[in-house]
Amino acid sequence: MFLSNVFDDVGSLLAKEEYVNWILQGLAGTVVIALIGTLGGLLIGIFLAFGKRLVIEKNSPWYQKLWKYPLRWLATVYSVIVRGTPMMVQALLFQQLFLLFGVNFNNIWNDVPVFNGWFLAGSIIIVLNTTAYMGEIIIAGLNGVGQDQIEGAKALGMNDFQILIHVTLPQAIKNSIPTIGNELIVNIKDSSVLNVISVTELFFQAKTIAGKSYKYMAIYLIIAACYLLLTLLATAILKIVSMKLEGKKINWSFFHYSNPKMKGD
Amino acid sequence: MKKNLSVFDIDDYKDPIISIEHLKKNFDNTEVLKDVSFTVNKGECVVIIGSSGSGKSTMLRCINLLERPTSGSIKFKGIDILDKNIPVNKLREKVSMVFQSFDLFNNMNVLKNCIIGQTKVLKRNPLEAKKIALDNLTKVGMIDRKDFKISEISGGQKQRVAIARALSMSPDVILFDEPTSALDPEMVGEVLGVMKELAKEGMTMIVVTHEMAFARDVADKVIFMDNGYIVETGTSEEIFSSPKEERTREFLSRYIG
Ligand SMILES: Nc1ncnc2c1ncn2[C@@H]1O[C@H](COP(=O)(O)OP(=O)(O)O)[C@@H](O)[C@H]1O
Ligand SMILES: [Mg+2]
Repeated sequence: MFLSNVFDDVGSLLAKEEYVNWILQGLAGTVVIALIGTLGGLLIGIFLAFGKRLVIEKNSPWYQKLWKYPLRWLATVYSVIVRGTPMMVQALLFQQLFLLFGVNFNNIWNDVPVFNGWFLAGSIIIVLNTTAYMGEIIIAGLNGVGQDQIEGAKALGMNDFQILIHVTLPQAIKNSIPTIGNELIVNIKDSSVLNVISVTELFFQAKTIAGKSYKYMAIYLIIAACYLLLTLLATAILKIVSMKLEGKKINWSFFHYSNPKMKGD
Repeated sequence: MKKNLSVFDIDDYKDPIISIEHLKKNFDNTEVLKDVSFTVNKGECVVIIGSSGSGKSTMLRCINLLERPTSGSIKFKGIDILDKNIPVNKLREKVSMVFQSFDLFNNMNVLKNCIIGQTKVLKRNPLEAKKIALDNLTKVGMIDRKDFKISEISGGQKQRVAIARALSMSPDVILFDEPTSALDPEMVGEVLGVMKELAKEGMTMIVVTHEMAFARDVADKVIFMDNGYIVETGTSEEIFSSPKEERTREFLSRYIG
């Protein structure tokens, strides 16, 4: 009885073109913001990792200490604060901070569907948030490259920057692809908290539809299915990428992904 | 060809090419090298023997400044390399090193391992670098494996690639730190064979090894180190046939029986 009612509701929601369009917009928003967050976070996370790993020796010259100490401190503090607070709270603080300076994201690109001012704000937040996690991932990756290879590079006369670019960083990134991929999956799901600042993503659209149609159970079931579809798809793509990189033949048993709760720990 | 001339690009230096005097090295409070002095002439193969922990690796690593000596002097082509103004990486271009653990780059194939230092450090153009790398891979008998990943070749093959990588930098000296100690016995021969060939061609080499047969056959000069000191130096004939010091005799009796 109850279930058949819910399925009827799902059917009636999906029959409405307006709602379907909103859901598709939400899907686009979620996919794009998760990709921006993951790629942007990876890029800036690499620099965060450099900052946290700055080597300062006792006999380093004072002008090096002058920039290295503050930079390393800043990177560390950033990482601790961002990983220690929820993204939802970060988003709200970000919004209030900009209001303080008279910037209201309501007024930016407000006639563009999905990719409006709030989407911009949400993109910045998810990048800044993911950066902190990516920083840790890259650090772990860099630490995983054997000291022997670094010595081999030094003995060839490579400087620290050349060693990083040609030897350690490529291996750190390659070895971290599974964990980097998990961040994408986390971002697909966790971008839903950005509804608090009106980012047009899947959950925000669902709330809007629920408010109009009162078919709460049905719309939340629909977006749950959408999220599941997206995360499974992402898992499959990541698996193909990492198997390609390892030069292995592709194995089509995708549907178990390991360690999906990376961000939390 | 782009060339980056440095203080060490000199050909008219007088022997010895390397001269080490009263070298000391402490790690925190432990003295590892206590007073080490010796010279290496151009084209010589100097073999260093001694029990483990005697400071052989530390001494070798001081020569390309992977370790900074506590005191003493090291001159390369007559230039004091401990001078603070000496660019360390220019020295390392000229003094290559082959390690016990191969230290190849896992993110590059065999050929790329032999090219990267040439293009990035020596700024050779990629075509020239590739040609030199291929020549050296041929020399060490690894040309048919040039496209292999490092994980796909054996230990002996890795060490031969590491030698080709070192050679590709066209160094003046190659330092070998126990190049065969991590190898299965059946692979030791192929590596020593390559090294013997290099010595014959007149490459200047300093080799730390426990392979006494190699030392006896190939070394122009043998140095026995113990406990941070050089105990005895001589030709391989002198050290192996008539060692003067009791400690040398004792050490050799453990290896040769
Ligand atoms: N980086 C280091 N820090 C502290 N002690 C070291 C370091 N490297 C080597 N030693 C110590 O120096 C001594 C000589 O080591 P090493 O030069 O490796 O000897 P060998 O190569 O003859 O076996 C050893 O007792 C070793 O523990
Ligand atoms: Mg050693």
